[in-house]
Amino acid sequence: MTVKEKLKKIIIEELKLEEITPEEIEDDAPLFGEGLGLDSLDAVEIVVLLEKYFSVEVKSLEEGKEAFQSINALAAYVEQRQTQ
Amino acid sequence: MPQRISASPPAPGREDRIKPETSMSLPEKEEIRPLIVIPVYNHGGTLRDVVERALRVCTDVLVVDDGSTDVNTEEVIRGLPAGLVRHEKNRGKGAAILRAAGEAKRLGMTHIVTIDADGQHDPVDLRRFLPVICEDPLAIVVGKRFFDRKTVPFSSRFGRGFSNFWLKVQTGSSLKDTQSGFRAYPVAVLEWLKLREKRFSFEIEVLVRAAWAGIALKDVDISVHYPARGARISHFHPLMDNLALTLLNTRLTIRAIVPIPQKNFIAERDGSEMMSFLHPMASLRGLLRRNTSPKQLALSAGLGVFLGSLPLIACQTLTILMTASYFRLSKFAALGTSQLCIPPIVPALCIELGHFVRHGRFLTEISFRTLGYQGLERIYEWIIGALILGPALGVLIGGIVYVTTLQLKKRMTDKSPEDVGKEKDSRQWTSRSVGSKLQHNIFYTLIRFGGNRAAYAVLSCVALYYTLCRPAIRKKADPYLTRRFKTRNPLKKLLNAHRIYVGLGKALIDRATLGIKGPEHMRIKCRDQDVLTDLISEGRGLVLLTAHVGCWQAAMSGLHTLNTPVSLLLHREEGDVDLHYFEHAGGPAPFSIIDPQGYLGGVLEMMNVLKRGEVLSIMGDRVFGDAKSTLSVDFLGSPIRIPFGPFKLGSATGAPIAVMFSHKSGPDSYELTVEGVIRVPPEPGRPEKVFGPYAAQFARALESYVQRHPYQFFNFFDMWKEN
Repeated sequence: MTVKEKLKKIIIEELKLEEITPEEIEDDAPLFGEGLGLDSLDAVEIVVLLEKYFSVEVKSLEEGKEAFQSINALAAYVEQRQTQ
Repeated sequence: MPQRISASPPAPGREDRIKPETSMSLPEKEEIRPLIVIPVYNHGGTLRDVVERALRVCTDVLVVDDGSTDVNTEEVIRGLPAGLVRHEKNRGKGAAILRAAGEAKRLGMTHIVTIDADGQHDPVDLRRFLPVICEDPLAIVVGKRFFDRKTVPFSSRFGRGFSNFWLKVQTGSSLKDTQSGFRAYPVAVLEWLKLREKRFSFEIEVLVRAAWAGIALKDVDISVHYPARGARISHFHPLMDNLALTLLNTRLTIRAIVPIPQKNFIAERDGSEMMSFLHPMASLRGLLRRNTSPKQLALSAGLGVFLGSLPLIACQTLTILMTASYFRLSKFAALGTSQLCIPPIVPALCIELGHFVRHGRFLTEISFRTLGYQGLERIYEWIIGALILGPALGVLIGGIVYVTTLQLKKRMTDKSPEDVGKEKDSRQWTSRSVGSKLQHNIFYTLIRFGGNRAAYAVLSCVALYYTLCRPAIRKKADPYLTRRFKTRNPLKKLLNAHRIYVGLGKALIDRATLGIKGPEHMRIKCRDQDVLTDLISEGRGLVLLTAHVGCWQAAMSGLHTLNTPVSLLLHREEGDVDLHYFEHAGGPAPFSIIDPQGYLGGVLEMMNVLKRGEVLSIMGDRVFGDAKSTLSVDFLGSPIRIPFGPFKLGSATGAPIAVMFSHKSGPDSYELTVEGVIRVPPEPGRPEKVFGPYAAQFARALESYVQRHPYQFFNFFDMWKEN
């Protein structure tokens, strides 16, 4: 499973998004606000799951902003950190 | 009575009333529909020419034949597409204009522009009227003739100047040519005004009454063409007409100077104010709101004092009233302050001053000789003294009035029920929104020089004022107070409101004191420090869940003993008057601030704070932003909404949540207590019901607090209202 697919699956599970399947999540749709429509408290979950499943810590606000643009950005962020 | 209405009735959709070649690029006010009105009485010779020229400029022209006997008016304008209405008997220019206004209303026109039938006016000048009309569709615009000294007789010039002067006395408006007949009237205004004069004096009365009703009077330049002396036909009868004018002016001036307010056109039309004896307070408020600016009142007051100090024997009141009217100042205020100069003090001072100026020493002998025989001397000295003292006193009183009315005016605009009130209600109320910047600054100065005790002393008066005189503000505490104290006794309720406002005031003063003088001036004890230290040592960070009670700034500065950085989630509202007093005087602030309006509500920063093992303080009792991240919990018997974010954070990071409140334990001391520790297990997912029990724990803790410290709870809005 690619990073992207794993991300989508985990996000749906952990955030208990019942109405959507991993295939329906667009890769470049925004995560917060429009697109997937997550809010700030979902962001808390995402930070937690990034650590739990990928051992990746979001160290700063700037990093977070970049990473949370879309699934693509998130996947890129994770891949980058994992190779370190 | 033969009537012929405009051959081309104006279709509602037509916007090009003015012929293209003479139209200018105007702001899009297609609602201006002017009708040119030409009243004619025995000016048959020039009529056709005037009508033709008018038609070249505007498609809608109406001739009002006021009983002309020299020609058959219908014949004269035959073939021209202008409307015609006729009076069988001569009724006067006023009647003709009002008739035309009625016709205009019937035709759906918005303005009538009157032009004299004697050829004096050039209809082309209508172009100059239009921009002014568009700018203020409710104004009356009067054409201002250019007077060449050589061709105009002196009597005309004098008459005009005289007429202009009286208009200014009666209304405070200045027009350069009050006698000009080339005018634009809004039809609505003519309809509304109650006008008595029907003959030529109508043209004066309409200006005065319109000005009284708040309508603006404007002028524009127009060209004037005087036919040769001999050919001019004038219907002016020197004796009778002058008498009529004098009578009219007397009537109007008397009405002008009597200090009973006039009905205002705009206010009455949109119902924003009812001027009537049945609603005296509303009328007064409307009057104050509408008419008088602090500057105006101050000038009126100064004028009153100045004129009051002069020895205007027997004519003081009249002079004051007329001068106030001339300068469009408040007659009330001027008369009022002139009473300050009632003998003996001010006149005596003036006389002494004048005597000193004249003779180099003060007048010490008060006797029949000095005041009786030498009365004229004294009056002369009075005048000298008044010319010095009068302006000085005027400036002083004027200054005082200015400052006080500025405050009053601000308070009154605060009070205006609809918009401001609603906006303030819907927005969440903060303790900072009470009082103006000036009031806040006064308190800061008090604190700086007298410490918080001095401020407390002044506070009791201010709080009393708010409790007794600002019911709107006092009622804001009602939702909470009625649930906390189940009393119906109105006196007890008033007392509770007063005590809580005093509590709030003291908390604000303490906060400012901390900012201005530094934390050493306040003793802050943290009873449960060990609890906190133990929690921090767990290494997952600590969430301090607080509420709007006590003084959070005192609490924050009390936490420095923990030796751990503290971050605070705080909503900084714009217009926050004491913004810079949050930061302590000198030195770094003991806490940093996270903005809940930042990216993702600041959650990333909050999580990092906890990850670093630091302290994060969040207000648990108010919601910012959408209600999605809230849940409902019972507080004092009814449900309120509180954010579940803190619990989520606790669950996600494993940080314990300590519910901590501060309360004022003395004039210079605060105490922090931990009411409970909430641990939220890592509950995955969204359902907010999951956090229900923990939110309930918080609510219980808050209830316990307000049981013990009821007057330290500062949420002055209806927390229980369904949004």
